[in-house]
Amino acid sequence: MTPIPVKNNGKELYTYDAIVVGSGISGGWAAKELCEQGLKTLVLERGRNVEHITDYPTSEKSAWEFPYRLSTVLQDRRQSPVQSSCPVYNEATKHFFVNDQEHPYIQEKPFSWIRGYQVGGRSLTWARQCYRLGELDFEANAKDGIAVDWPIRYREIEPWYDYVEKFVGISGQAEGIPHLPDSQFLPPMELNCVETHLKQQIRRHYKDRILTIGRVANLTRGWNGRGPCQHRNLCNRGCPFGGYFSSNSGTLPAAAHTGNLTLRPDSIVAEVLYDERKNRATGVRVIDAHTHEVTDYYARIIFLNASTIATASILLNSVSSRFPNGLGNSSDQVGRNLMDHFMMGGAQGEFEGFQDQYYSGRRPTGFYVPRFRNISPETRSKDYLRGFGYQGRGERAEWGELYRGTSGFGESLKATLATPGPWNVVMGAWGETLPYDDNRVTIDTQERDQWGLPLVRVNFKYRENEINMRPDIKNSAAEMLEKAGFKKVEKFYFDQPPGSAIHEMGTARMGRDPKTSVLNAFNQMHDVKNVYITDGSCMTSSACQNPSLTYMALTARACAHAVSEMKKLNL
Amino acid sequence: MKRRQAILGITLLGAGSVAFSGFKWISWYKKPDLVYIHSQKKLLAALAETIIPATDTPGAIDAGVPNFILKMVLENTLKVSQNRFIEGLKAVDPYSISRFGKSYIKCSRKEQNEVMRHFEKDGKPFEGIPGKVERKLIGNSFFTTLKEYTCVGYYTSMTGATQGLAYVFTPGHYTGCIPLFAGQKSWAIR
Repeated sequence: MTPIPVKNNGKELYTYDAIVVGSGISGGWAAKELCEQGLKTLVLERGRNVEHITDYPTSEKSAWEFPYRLSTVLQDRRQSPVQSSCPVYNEATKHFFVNDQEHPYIQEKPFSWIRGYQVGGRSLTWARQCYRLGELDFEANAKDGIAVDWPIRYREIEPWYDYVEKFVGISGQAEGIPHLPDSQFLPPMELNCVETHLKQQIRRHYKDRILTIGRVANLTRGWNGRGPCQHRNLCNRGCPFGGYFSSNSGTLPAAAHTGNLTLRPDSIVAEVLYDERKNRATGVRVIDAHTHEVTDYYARIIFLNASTIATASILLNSVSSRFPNGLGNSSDQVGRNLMDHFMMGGAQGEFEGFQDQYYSGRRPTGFYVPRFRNISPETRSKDYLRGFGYQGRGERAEWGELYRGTSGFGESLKATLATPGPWNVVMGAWGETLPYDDNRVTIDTQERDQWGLPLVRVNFKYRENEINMRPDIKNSAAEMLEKAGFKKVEKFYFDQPPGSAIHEMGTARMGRDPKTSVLNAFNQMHDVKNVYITDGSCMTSSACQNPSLTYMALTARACAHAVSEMKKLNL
Repeated sequence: MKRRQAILGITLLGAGSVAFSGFKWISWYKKPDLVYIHSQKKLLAALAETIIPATDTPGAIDAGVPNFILKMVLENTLKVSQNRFIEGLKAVDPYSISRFGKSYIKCSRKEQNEVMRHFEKDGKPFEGIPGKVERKLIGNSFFTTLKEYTCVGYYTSMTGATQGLAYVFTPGHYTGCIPLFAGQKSWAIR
């Protein structure tokens, strides 16, 4: 490689106690925890700055203020086919997604890599669903003999779930389910009448299934100076009320408040710098997104929170004679075991009752049916391991659905569209994907992006276990709806490319043995102790719960460990 | 493999049963005559008003729908649907003249409804998967596009959302179950 001119005259100017790479949901937590523990912390974000409230340009706009009224824009579909496939991508949110042309990657098989390169990352546009993993999940790999064992159990993460939840603010209903432990909840949002009906019928017909309101990081009362949620359901535009949790509204302001935070947007981390003599990471090499100027920054500890695929690619691009295959990759596990939940399968149905009932306000969550397969000997499936949880919602059909299904035009059409239509429920599963070592992220040896960095290659496909789950996903949903008296029940499975759930994880997994895993029980690299990784890449299995809450808890826990190790002079 | 064959089968079936000539197919993929649409604003307005007429609440024209349709057809519609839309637009007056001896805008509301019914019947898409395949191959019919853009344009306009439906931008609360009162309109947004 040709030598790169590096601007680092006066090294102390570029030296911090800690560097955090990425400012999304886990990077924001690393920033907050490390700053609050008194460490001078540099947060590097590859995208532009986004200030809470001031940089939410669409948050107060009505549909008529957008050129195409929030309908699908063909030009976006052509220019950014991957990003625009995300259901929340539209005229009001697209500035929080990357442009596919500017940020290419190689799909060896179809894989949608949906990204938001900006301060706050995808914490601005996430679906805010928060579910704890339970003991069932942490034991699963060991019991099934799949991949490697998680190096932690529920009791070790439990206090950290408590800790982050008290800051985040999660509304939900305590249900006392062992494999889906309750969070520290703010008051739950209400179910509407058709959902309450379905809940009661599920309770009546199944002894091991329940329906509960979605557990969601939307504030049902004012919380830590934020919120409450105004029930506009426009969260993905950024919330001027701070009604939901994001790095921008929550952790980054808390980090800044300490005076210890330096936030540097437009800073693309090319690699982690490594000192072979000391066997330590010394810092990171940063390329300015606009000027392409290269600067090295130094710190005692480094947290990688760039997101699962990006973190793997940074490690793979950080080569030295000690680590020719990438930093901390003596196990050859970096980039392997990529997982994403698979979704878009389920059922829908219409309900004929409650014609005289409606709802008021817009609820930014639906309901949740926790996993009910393979949770006990009686619920074992002969076809597959693990399971899935359903997310769904009940609504009355409104103009957006009705105009397609109603024939005719004129006064009668207008009257139909102005009247609440039949109640319907749609429920879709989020299924657990097993870790496979050849579902993999690598970096290309030839092709480079505009910053000279190797393009990421993704090679991913679902296997037998995931595919075997599909019939059950469709049938169980349809069965519940039918038993609850729904009519016109239809099963569906939209075959979306993997990645579409935007729950990538697993490319630098935690484990007990340095030979078979990248991180230890505290998210510390086995090979390089002063590097911590607490984004989705650390996940040893995917469970079927939306994972961000677990990333947050693991991050806070890892930060406490790092600070304690620094105090003991172990780092 | 099986699935793919099945889809291919449906594709062929769908294409076959539409029974249009290769010439027609080519004509729908040609460069659309976008200039023509600009000259037909009055007709477009009358057609949109037929889909959503003014009643006790404003209609499509009051809500500025014709301009929205124009913008969508010109800027945000697949070429094949653009061509079918323009072709449909060109066919309206000849049909209304043949039926009622006058152009569409000169027709009474009742006559306009008759004309519209003809185009609805003419452009009725297949149901289910054949319909999806049809849409992919030959886009939407004139009537389907007209109806979709009129409805979207109307219910996402300030006039349509706030007068044709119930619009609250910042509800401040969520109540799961409330009794529907007589004449209550649907919520404009979710």
